[in-house]
Amino acid sequence: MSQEQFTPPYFDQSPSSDGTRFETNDEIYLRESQLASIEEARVRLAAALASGPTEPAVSPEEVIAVSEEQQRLEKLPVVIGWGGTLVHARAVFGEDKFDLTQDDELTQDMFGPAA
Amino acid sequence: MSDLFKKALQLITGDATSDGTTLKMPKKHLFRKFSERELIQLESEIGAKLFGPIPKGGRREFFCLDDRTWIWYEEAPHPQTGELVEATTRYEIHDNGILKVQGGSRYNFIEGAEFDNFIMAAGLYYEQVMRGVYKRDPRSGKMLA
Repeated sequence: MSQEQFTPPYFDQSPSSDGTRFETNDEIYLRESQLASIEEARVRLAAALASGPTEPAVSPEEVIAVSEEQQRLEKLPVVIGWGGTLVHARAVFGEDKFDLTQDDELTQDMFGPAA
Repeated sequence: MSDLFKKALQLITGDATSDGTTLKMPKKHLFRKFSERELIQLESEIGAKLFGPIPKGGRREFFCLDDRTWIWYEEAPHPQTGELVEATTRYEIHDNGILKVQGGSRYNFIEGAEFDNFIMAAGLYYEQVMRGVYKRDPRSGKMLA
């Protein structure tokens, strides 16, 4: 049996802050490092506030350009819809299987059932 | 140019209209005598007129091939040699943009004014074809009075 297995676990422990249990040195280190991180964040926040407003990462022109591009892309499904309707119209009319007087059926076939 | 695309284009721009005649819509039984190919030719007659007058001795086709493909075909005599010069442009509607393919190897996504113009042309084409060829209201699909 190795020396390591004989080491009592509580040697590596200290009481927890509320006294209900022992906590390991690793946990204590973690708690302290978290506090250090919080403190560091506070310092950085204070410095950022003191330095005033910062330059935006993206210029207003770039925001407008992206917005315009987005608006363009939103038109694509509309164009695809037009194409789909035309293709369907050709299939309907080209096959000569619908009576044009039956307008409701044809309309429904091309554009779907009425809402 | 892919074989499939070439075949499709040939179907539309092939012999049927090369003698200078155009299809005429009969006044009665509007669609009974037309195949799908002929309907595309009728559509293309409208499409070609969307972009102004066709140069003398030239020919233009603009039509929707399927829901995601539009074709522009232009044929015009060279100003100096008089030799016929033809150009075919295919517009592919992708979810992330419109790809313009010319000559098989040149391709790019159109943007800016070119994109806007294409959308406008496609919209006018749809509007006029639905009214002029299929006699339907483009928005509701109801038969025009």
